[in-house]
Amino acid sequence: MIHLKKVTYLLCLLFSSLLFSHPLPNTMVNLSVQSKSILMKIQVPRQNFEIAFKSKVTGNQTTEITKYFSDHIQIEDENHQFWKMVFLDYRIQSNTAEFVGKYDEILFRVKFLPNKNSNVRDFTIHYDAVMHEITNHQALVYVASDWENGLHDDSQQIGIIGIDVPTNTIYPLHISLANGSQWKGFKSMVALGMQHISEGTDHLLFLLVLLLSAPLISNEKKWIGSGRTKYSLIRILKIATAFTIGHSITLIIGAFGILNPNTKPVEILIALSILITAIHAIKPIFPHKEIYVASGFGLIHGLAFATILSNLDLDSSQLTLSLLGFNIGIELMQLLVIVLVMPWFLLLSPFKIYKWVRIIGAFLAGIASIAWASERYFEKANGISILIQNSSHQAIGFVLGLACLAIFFRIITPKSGY
Amino acid sequence: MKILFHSILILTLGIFSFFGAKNYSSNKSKTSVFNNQSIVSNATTVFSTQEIVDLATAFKATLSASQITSLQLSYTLTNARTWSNLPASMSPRLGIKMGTLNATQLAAAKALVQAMTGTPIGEGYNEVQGLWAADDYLSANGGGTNYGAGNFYIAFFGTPAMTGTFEIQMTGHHRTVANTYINGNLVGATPSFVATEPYASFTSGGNTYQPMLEEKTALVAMLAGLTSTQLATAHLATTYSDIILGPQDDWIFPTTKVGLQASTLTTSQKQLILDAIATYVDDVDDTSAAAFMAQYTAEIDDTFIAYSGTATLNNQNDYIRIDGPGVWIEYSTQNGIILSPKHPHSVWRDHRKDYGGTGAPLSNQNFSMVSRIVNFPNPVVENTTFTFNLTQNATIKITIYDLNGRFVSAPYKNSLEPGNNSITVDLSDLSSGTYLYSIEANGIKSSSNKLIKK
Repeated sequence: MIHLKKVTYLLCLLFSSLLFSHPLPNTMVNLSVQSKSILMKIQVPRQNFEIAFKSKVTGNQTTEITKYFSDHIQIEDENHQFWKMVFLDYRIQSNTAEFVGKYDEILFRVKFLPNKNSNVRDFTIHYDAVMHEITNHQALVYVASDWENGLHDDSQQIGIIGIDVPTNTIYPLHISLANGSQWKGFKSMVALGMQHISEGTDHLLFLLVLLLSAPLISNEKKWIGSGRTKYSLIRILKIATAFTIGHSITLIIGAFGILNPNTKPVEILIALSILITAIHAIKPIFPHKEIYVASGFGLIHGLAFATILSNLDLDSSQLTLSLLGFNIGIELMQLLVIVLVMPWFLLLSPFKIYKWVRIIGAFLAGIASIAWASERYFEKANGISILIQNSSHQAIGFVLGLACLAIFFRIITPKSGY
Repeated sequence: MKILFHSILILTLGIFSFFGAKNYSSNKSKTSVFNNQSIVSNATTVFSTQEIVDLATAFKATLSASQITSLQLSYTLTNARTWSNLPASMSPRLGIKMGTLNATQLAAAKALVQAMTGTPIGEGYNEVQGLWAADDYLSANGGGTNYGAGNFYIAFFGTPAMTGTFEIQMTGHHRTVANTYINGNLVGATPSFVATEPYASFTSGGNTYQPMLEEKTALVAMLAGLTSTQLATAHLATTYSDIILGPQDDWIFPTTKVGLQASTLTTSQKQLILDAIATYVDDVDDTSAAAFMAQYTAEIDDTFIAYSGTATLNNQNDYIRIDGPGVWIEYSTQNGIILSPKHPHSVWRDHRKDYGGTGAPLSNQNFSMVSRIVNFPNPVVENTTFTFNLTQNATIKITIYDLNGRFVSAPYKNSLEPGNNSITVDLSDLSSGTYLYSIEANGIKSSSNKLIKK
């Protein structure tokens, strides 16, 4: 009996971390403003939804849930006409909230199609899902993306729907979004592409390490000297173009949703691509084949870019312009980095010291790549990956150091062979 | 049966008041700052406001100058509204943290809280001690350092004196005492928040507690005294997973009362309602409690009771409300966070006397008119849309301030109708930086929200 009590007590302790206190979180409604529709993603704690739905939510209840939402959400335009609702899908997932801990929630995706001539940027949401039953429940409404206004990666709150206690009324929420433009949307995609590369230390490092050996000539087994400036420039151009072609192909395929690879293996492969090119920079392992390797690894890097775009819930007309803008942004940033770094590599490459710059650079990149691969495989940051994360702002210092070194050698040392 | 129950209760309380007294004499080596309390069961002790002022002044005298700076704040709406049903680590409080006080200071603080909170067994200071102990228990049983009696705060809003207005607030995870005194009278004893986890009886520091037993027992008895027809009238169709007038939900009482009106009840049924109300009102000094009860008794016929879920208050989402011309009580059963599955959250408010009463500096009937304020986009480039819920027709004015509270601009003023209003204004003239804004309804300001201009 005592044992049983102890066991029960222990079980209580074990499960207590799964229990929640205080009411579950409110509903989150995320609106993606597309060119001709509104995509609404609704996240509701499962338990609250089931109370309001008056049934457990399990397997295939699309019909019942569609009916529930058509009874509880409507979008009305300025002419007092209601939009067509298309219920897309739902899935049960786990979420964690402060004060509550882990809980199940349901993510519903609903699309609203405006009537002909009605403005997709000015509408009124009539919404009482869950709160028609749970009086203290609220829906926090966010704009997750508004392409024409360049809003995409951080949702912004636009309103709160809940019961007005004094009058016991749920007031509709009027949403009026400032007009944007295709140009504004396009510009923000260029900026997103640039930002992604400038923050994506791994993509940059891959490119730099690949270009580290670009000025050099190999005899199949080792690097034996540096080529003329023209030779080097052509090689740099070829390698960078090959990488661009590679990642553009998979970016397009991925963004249209044709290919939807797992993020984890892609990220690990990206880390390994740096390792391989780093080894190559120390000792040529794929001499004269840099262009193929660059385009091949480009394919992998492009898959990572694609997930950024496919997460934006863009409709097809926005997607084409986005792809163009995003890719231009990536290229611009890459070009900037090449312009900032390569002249110093080129200036240094005729000197003996370049050998050490190349070897030390490749060695450090190799360590970084292993740290990233491990972080991505185990899904846990390690000392090195944290160090890189914290020191990546010092890239400018690195470029300046390299420039000083190059200028110093150019001035004090007479040109000597490799 | 009832007699048996009462005698057990009195016996239990007697035993732990004995242990409490014993602990008090050997109070040096305790880890928790609140283990060493005596439980006051002397029902004849009546504290006057003069004594409360004296105890407040005495407590202040034990503090250093910098401690006084934390404790003694001004009597403003923003200060008074700073309380929560969450631990202070998650929702910061004002005032001085009780865990930072030395033994003398703590004794003075507790003497003050004791004087403010009344003497009946199971209510008032006795209950406060139980709720402190409950938080210590949470701390020791998985809650960690975010919980515990040392994480409660005490603050003075306005200087305690026999003239003028001041509030003494004692707030922590599951208890907020907010007593507002005007010219020597306790005018407002609300919002008074009380909750407990664990709900079931527990032992802490050698004492056994079950701080909210009386509230629950009285509320369940109130419903049990109804006929099935009356119960059906009192039953609310919708679900309440929490109280609706929690922290910061000030002055938004429903305009229409729901449930069962007490005027249709028998005298003994009405008495059961008053008994339930008393379990909250008895949490203030005995003289003031009697005055509140007299008022609530006079208004009993216009008081409504309502419940949702089951009438047992045992299950999650079981909910009871008492709503009168003055009194407002809500009790909600929720799942536990650290311990056993169920625990109650409860609030006593007063339609007219929260934070010291309508007409007093801190309140206004129109106060509640604006809520759920959001502006989009934020950061603002040119235009931004302010969205907010408005309860009644009102003249709405939006004012922007800098972070030091200096007026910057008033981009909007107009009369609006109730609803979820959206007002778009052009802020392109505003220079870059961070600002605060408030939305005024008929001259009453909302709390401030942040706005960033790019």
